Order: sequence, then structure tokens, then C-alpha cells
Amino acid sequence: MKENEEIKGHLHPLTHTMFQINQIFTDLGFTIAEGPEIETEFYNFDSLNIPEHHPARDMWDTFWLEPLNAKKLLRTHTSPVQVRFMEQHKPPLRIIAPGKVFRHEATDATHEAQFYQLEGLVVGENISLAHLKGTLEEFFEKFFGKKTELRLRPSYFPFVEPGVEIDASCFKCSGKGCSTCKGTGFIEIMGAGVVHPRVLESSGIDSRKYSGFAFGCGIDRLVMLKYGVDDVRLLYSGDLRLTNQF
Amino acid sequence: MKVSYNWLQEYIKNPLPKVEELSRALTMHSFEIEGVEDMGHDSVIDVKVLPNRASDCLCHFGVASEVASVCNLERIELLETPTLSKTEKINLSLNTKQCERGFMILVRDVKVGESPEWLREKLAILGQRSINSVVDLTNYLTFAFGHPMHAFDAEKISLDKNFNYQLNIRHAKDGEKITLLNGTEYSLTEDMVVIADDEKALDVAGVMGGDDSKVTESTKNIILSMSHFNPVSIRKTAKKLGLRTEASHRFENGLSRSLAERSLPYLLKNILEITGGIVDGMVEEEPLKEVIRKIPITSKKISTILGFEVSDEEIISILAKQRIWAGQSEEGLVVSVPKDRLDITIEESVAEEVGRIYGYENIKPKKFTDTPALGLNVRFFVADKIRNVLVKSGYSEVYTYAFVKGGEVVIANALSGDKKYLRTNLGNAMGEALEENFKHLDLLGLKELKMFEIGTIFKKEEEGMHLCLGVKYPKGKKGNVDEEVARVINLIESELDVSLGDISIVGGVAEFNLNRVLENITAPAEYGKDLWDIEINDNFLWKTISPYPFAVRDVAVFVPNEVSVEKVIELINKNINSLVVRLSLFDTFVKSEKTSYAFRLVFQASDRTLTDEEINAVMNPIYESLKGEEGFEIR
Repeated sequence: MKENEEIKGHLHPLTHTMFQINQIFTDLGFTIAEGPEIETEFYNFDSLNIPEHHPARDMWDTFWLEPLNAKKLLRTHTSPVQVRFMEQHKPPLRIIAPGKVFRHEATDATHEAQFYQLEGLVVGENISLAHLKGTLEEFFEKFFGKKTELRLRPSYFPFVEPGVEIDASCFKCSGKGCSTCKGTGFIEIMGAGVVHPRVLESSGIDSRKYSGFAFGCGIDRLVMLKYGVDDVRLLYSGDLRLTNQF
Repeated sequence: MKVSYNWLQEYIKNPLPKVEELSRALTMHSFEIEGVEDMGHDSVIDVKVLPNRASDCLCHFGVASEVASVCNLERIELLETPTLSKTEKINLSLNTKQCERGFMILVRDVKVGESPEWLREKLAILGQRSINSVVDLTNYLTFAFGHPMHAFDAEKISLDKNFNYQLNIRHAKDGEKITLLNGTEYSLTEDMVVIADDEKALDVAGVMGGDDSKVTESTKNIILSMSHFNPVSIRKTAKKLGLRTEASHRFENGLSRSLAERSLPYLLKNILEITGGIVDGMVEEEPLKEVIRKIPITSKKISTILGFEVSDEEIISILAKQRIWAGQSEEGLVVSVPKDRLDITIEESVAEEVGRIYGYENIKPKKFTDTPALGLNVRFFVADKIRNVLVKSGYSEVYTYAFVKGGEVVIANALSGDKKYLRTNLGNAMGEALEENFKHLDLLGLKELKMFEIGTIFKKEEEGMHLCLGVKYPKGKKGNVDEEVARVINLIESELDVSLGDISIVGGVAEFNLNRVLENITAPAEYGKDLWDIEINDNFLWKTISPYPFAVRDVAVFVPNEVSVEKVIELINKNINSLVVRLSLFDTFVKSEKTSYAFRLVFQASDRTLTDEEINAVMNPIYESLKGEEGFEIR
């Protein structure tokens, strides 16, 4: 312990992590995109192949805004940025969209009504799940500073087909099993998949010529995993006892 | 959905692999497993069936069929669907498009009683209550094959002039009342569908049966309905009534009518064995029949999507495992999709089927070889540039909540009354954060608070990116907080080469919309090397914040001028333990031959409030050791 004159300030751990994300992905040729936090029902759901009255809507607990007939909501994911970007740009595309999202859920140590998500989208000719795996392996290796193996498992999100859940080999124990990965050697880290042709078409992209992959990952979760932060609510507490450790 | 391991075995010839191995295979190829409960003689597996596979897998047979495919096991052939003769005794009319198939079976002379043990056990393992042999049987068949089924007491149904049972599947009347099986009376609306007789509604279609026509121990004749309803209609009805049942959950996801055919032979077999009932016959109204979909595919496209090569032959044999038949055509392959696989509609869904059964582990990662031109995102550039300027100037960043108790944008379904609006400013939260953090100044080792937040605010017509600065000095500190804020605003202006105009600074807090900057800045072509250049320690672990109070002790000592401060710190360090969370030098002055050093020690435990004794046990040896040094003098 030494004399403690504070000279420099500190970045919030979410910013700290987003800086790393931005650096790694721009090095990989990704452009940073963004969209509004108040979204329309169309961009948040319909354009992503989640029609009204589809049970898949239950996968996203939603904050609706008044008046209800305006059909505005707080975006439940950063995926609307995919559609907004595709409407404005022609393939090939390679973007990430880090941003804040909202879920209508009771908060506890692992659940927050607001959190940050990292969206990724690549569209081009002959883009496949192999590119998804290659890109994300490179990202996680750089992010965790360790050789990382990815595991794809079948899952379902209406805007991708095939849809997968991605597990990363545990960066703490390299897959041997520890408390971080609950002994499994792998950590559930994000949802991803091949962009559904209906999503491409609704953004004006020819799905016979182009294909793509997309992924979505909780940034808060990355912070908690990597640095061992045990309560997500701390990230929004305005507490320097958190920030100043970074 | 809860699934019994032993029950799965009933549909598979070979012995099942151990439950752990089976769960692993399902996890990697089919579904997430949310848990396995050991029940002694059986295991209950909680399978997360997502909406895409609800059409065939919200039942034991569906899951068993997946198990057979992914564990390479042989299925037991199901009983063949019998052809039932039509009964004249049911007069069924179908008066809504929301019913895709009306399907009723009349069974006479049933003896309703307690279910046999095997049936009670099957329901019990899934946590279901046994009601009576007929109701239990309908529930069992729903969990077995996925198609909901309901039994009516036929004698409660009105008769037409020929003494036939009158059944009418129609829309409810606005305000029509019905008491359902849960004992609650519901008032229906016109968009809901009911199964009714000539007088009244008997059942809210696809959701829950009515109390009035329920099967009891005195029931003699029953009418079983395996009618089928539109998913949207059921979803809306269930939502409106606030009722989510095993039936509505299955219907709202979209089910294949073919599941009823799978169930039928088991219904007939068991109804005879368990109740002695005699099937009189059935009636059926199905305006549009289900068809087998054909999807043309090519191995080239499937390979492109998956990122590994698969041949026509491989595709045919992988799909055959799932009993999906594909044949060669001139352009490639044509896949015949089984009726129960409502999820397979396009080439991409066939690719998914091939990919997951074959195994995604076969995908070899591929990297991009090109580097496309990057666009620069000005908002990110400006925000991150400002963050760097501020951190360099001693400001620390906070994030606060977007939900507040007053504002312009109203949340219709707020979590609580004090979170009903979206924030219109960051300043309020900054004020609170300054107050809160001020209490921890010593713990943080700070002599002043300098904070900032960059975040979105919400006005009626605008979503703005705001920057808020907050500075707070302890009493007695020289300088003016507003001047400090003005100083750092100047720094931002010069770093970004923009003028921010007049910004009001009140009590050390200033806030403004960064759109002003965005409008006036000349953005560079690239982000620049140092924008995101931060020190990263991959092994850094965060230290949990103790909920217990901290305590502060100061010690000041005169030492001969030739003694270095390091030497003094070393002496103190020798005597401190883990309860000392911070040691800082807060004052130094020289008085002729001696120098005074004043240190502040902050004490805190992670698990308790510290007592004076515990703190003195650290402080006293420090005093003693300092006193013991030649020429040292405690002040």
C-alpha cells in the first residue's frame, strides 16, 4: 500500500469493456452502428420475424410506452439496429452495435431491467456458421486473453435460422471445470445464428444472393464474468466503490 | 417441460443411455436441459422446448423421437391409427374459422373411478394430480403425444329433436358467462371460441373445460374432443382470461392435427381397459386438410449455410434419422416434411436440421481475409474522446438508471410507481451520486469528488445523448467547484476543437446535450490509435463492496528530515493487517529539523462492524513502533 493521491479518474467497467469490444471488432473490419433506445414495435419485433401474437414474443418481456396505440417500446434487444442498418446500406456489411436495452423483469443480483447488449451482423456472399465461429473465437480469445474454444448448440430466435446458443470454454479454468463455469468447463455466452431470409428480405436484401450471421451478447454479463462482479445492479448504482476499482 | 426418463423408454427399443448422457446428447443436438431431478426409480428431465419445436416436442413421444435420432436408437413403432366409424348420435356444427378441425368421439357405458396405479404414477411423476380415470387418461395422452384432449359428460349436453347430442363450435357471445374447471366464473367476449350445446357454452375452446359438463364418478357416457384451434385465437383468449393451461400452451404455439391421430389408438385401447367404455363412433369437421410440405433444397446451399461440405447422400441419411424423407430431383433434393414438423418451412430450416443432427462441432472456424473500409461512428468517437479527456482530468464515470419518478415519456407497464418515467436529465441522479459517494471519500482515498455520466435522456420528441459533470469538495478545501467544472469543459472544447457555448453550472453540476458537439465537430477519418487504448489486466478480479461501515484513524509523526517517507510507511505497514483497507498520506510539512507526516488509515471488514478494540489492536503497535524510532515523535 502506498500513498494514494488520486490523479487519474476511472472509466466505468461497462465502458472499459466496450472500449475493448470496439477495439477488437474495428480491428476485424467491423463498423460501429447504433439505433434509438425507444423503438417501434415494427423494428423491435415485426421486422425481426416476430409477429404480433407469436409465442416467441414471450421471450422478450417488454416495457411499453404510453400511449399504447403509438406502439412504441423500450427496445428489448439491439437487434433492431440490424434492420435499420440493412435498410440504409448494401452488402457486404460487417457491423457491431453495442447499446442499452430494457427488459420488463424484477431485478435481483443477476437480472436488471436495463443492461447493455452487443449486437453483431455480417452479410455478404457465402457467409456461413463457419465465419460466425471464426469471428467469435477471435473476439473471445482477445477479450479473455486466453485460447478459447466455442461450442454451438441448437436454439431458437425467430430472426435467425439456424439459431444457436454459443458456449465459450471457460477462460478461468480453460475447460477443466471451476466455480465460474459451475464445473462444466463451458460458459453460456450468447445467442447467434444465420440471418433469417425473411429478415434480409424485409430490409431489401436479396436472400438468394446474400447470407449472413448475427449474434447478441450481454455486455454486463461479460463484465461480471471477467471481473467477478457479483451483482449486476451495482453497475447502475453510481457508486465509485465499483468504478474506481477499474 | 418436464419429461420422465422411464416414460421416454416406452417409445424406444434399445435401453436408453444413462440420464446424464441422454441429457448431454439432447443439449448438443436438440434442446437445452434446465435440470434433472432424481426421483429414485425414475428421473424427471426439464427440457426447454422453444416455440419452434412446440409443434411436435411438447410431449414424451416427441422428445423420445429426438433422443432416438441423436443417440442412434431404434424407435418402437406406434400402434396404427384405426378408422373409426361415424356416429349419428353427435350433431356437430362448426361455426368459426378459428376451429381448424372439430373432432369428437362418443364412448358409451364408461365406469369412471380411480385410475390404475400405472396411470396415477405417470401423472404424479410430472407433478399432476389424479382426478378420475377418464380425466387422467386425457391428461396422460396429452403428455404422451402432445395433442390436448377434453372429456365431456354426455348427459350434460342438450339433445336435438332426434335425441342426438348437440355440439356447436362457435364464437362466444359478448358477456356470456361460464364457470370453468378451476371453479371460477369467466365473462367471455365475442373473439373467443367456445364448444357449446344448444343452450350454453360448455368449454372455452383450447383453454379449459366447463365445470358443468365435467366428467365425474357418476358419468355414464362421454364425448371426447380432440378438436383443433387456431394458435392466435387461443393465445389471445388465454391472455385475456389470464389462464395459461397445458392445452392453451400447446395450441398457441401451433400444433399439428396429426398428433391427434397418433394419440387415437392409445385412447381407444385404454378407454376400454380402464373404463370398459365402448366406442360408439366419431364425428369430424375439417374444412382444410393438413398437407405434407415439399421443400426443394440443394446440398450446395445447405453446405454454404453450415460452413462445411455435406453431400446429397449425407443429407438424405441425416434427415432419415429424423424420419424426414428426401429424394433426388433434377435440381437437387426435395424434402417431404412430416406433418408434425411445422418448424421446417424453408431451406434454412432444413439446414438447421442437418447441422444439429450431424453436429455443429464439425464446423471449422473460418476467418475473413478482407478488411473492408470502416465508417466512423461520430457519436461513439465524440463520447469516447470526452471520456478519455475526463478520466485524464481526474473524473470517474458512473452509470445510473433510466427509470425515474418524473419525466415526459411514460412507461405503460412500469415496474413500480417511482420508475414510471424515463429520465429527462442526468443531473438529478448525479446529485444523488455525489451525496452517496461523498460518504465514502476516505474509503475511496479521495480528497474531492469529480464524476461524470454520458447517457441517453428522453424528451417527448427527442432522445438525447447527454454529458453530466459533477464535482463536490469537502469543507475546507480550497477552490470553487463551478470553476473546476468550467475548467474541464474548456478542456473538452479544446480537445475536440468545438465551442460548447454557454453552459450553466450550478453547485458543481453541469449538463448538456452532446448533439451540440456532434453538429459542430469535424470528424476525423479514423478513430485513432489511442481512443480505446486502455490498460487491461486479464487477471484482475473485482473486490466485493463491504456492506459494513468503515472507520478512520489518523496518525501524525515528526521525524528527522533525513528519514524518508518510505521508511515511515514501511514501519506502519509492518503492523497493519487485512482490516486496513487504505493507508494514505494526507499532510506533510517541515518544521526546522523535523518533518511531519500525517497518515490516514481506513478500517473495514467484509463480514462485521469493527469494534474499537479491534482497531486499537492495530493502532497501538503502530504508535509503539513509531515511538521506538530514534528522533520520532508522535504528534
